[in-house]
Amino acid sequence: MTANLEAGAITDASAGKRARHLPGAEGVWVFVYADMAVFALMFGCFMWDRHQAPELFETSRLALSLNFGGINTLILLTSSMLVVLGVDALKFGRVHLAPGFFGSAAACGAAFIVSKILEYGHKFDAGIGLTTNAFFQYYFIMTGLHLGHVAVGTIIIAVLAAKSRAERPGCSVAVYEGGATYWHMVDLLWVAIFPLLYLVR
Amino acid sequence: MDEQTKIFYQKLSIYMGPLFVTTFVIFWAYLGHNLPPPHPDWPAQAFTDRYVDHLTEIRVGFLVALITICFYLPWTGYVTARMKQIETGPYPVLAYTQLLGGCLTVMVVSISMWCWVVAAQRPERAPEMTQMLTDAGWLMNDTVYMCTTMQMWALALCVLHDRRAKVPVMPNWACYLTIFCGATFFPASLTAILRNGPFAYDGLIGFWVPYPAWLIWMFVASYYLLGDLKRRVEVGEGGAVPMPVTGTLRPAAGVARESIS
Repeated sequence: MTANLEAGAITDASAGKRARHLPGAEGVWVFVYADMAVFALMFGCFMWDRHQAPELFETSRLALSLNFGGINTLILLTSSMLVVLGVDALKFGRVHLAPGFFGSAAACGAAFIVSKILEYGHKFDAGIGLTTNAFFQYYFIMTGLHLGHVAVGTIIIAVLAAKSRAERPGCSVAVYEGGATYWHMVDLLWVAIFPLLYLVR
Repeated sequence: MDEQTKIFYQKLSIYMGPLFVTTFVIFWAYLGHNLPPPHPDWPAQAFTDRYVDHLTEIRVGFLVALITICFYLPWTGYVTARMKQIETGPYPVLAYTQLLGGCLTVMVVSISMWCWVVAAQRPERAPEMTQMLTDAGWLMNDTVYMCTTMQMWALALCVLHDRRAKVPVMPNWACYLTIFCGATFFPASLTAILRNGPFAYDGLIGFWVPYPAWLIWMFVASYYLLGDLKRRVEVGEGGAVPMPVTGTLRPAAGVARESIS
């Protein structure tokens, strides 16, 4: 094992190290996989019920706003990139840039929350609610639970933004990587929810 | 109380956790006919039939489970004391939050079973009333879960922040699992609105995820608490734990006070 590590270190130090490094605390990954498993269960239930009533699901899907869904996706992808830039800034000694990146990522999270509230408002105005039909039940629950994740993530990223202001070059990035990992999961879940609800015909 | 006895009661308190889970599964889930739970969209008569057909089992199940649910209390008591050792000083807020959460969990689960005991007392009641009591019991559990979530989160955060211990009470992953298990209760609020599908009180997300998550967490936490107790006994840290570093100020203050008087 040690010999392998050393051999790797001789041939390509950075690649060997990168392959073995688990970002953040191991527990964050346990949380992420468990959380995604629950969402996977929900996706499975959605697909099952969709199979039972394809017309209802298709006609209801058309009532969703692709503009809102698309903007939401762009917002989250951008914020994920900003978080990556923030962690990199801390890792590679450009510490002064980190608060800006994390702050912008948190602002993206807030923008997502606002856009979702507007989208829900449009639905309520149109007389569509949680109990309208099976499709909208899933729509509100899956996007609502995801929105809860976004709210928690926005707070985490905002706290990291504040914390990063006091960091010095060479600081430990484990906490930032943990927060970033969670935020990427939130992004990934949306990347699954968006096509599932808004796009799949 | 001598050290041997103290350790005995500490160990007993931890074992009460898994013992609670085991009795809960046998009496609450199996004998109480909650496996699978009744379907919330049944007609009222089906709820009455459920009690009439299995009256003795349901009565024995919930009456015993109402007693054994209190095994949760000594477990919570031990965890509180252990957390206070991590959160040194006069303001152990996480330990107290955990204590309150654990106590109230017992009350929430007890009240839900009490509803079902009332329903089973007079199964000849109007079916709508039996239905309502069954619903009330489930919604007590499924909407008043935040006490339990707070208990779990307080424990997880306390152990995660433990910087002094060479070996923490629970490993990092078990702390995050605790946080996750506490979070799985949130979708159960939907049981108050939806009576069909995965989010109803007999559904995949309403029942089959949160209840096992709660019971599995209790097993995992108890396993590591026992290991932690064993380590404490080995290093001779039984009842009275010597306070390292921070504690040294207090004897000095005591001496100062004595010399003044």
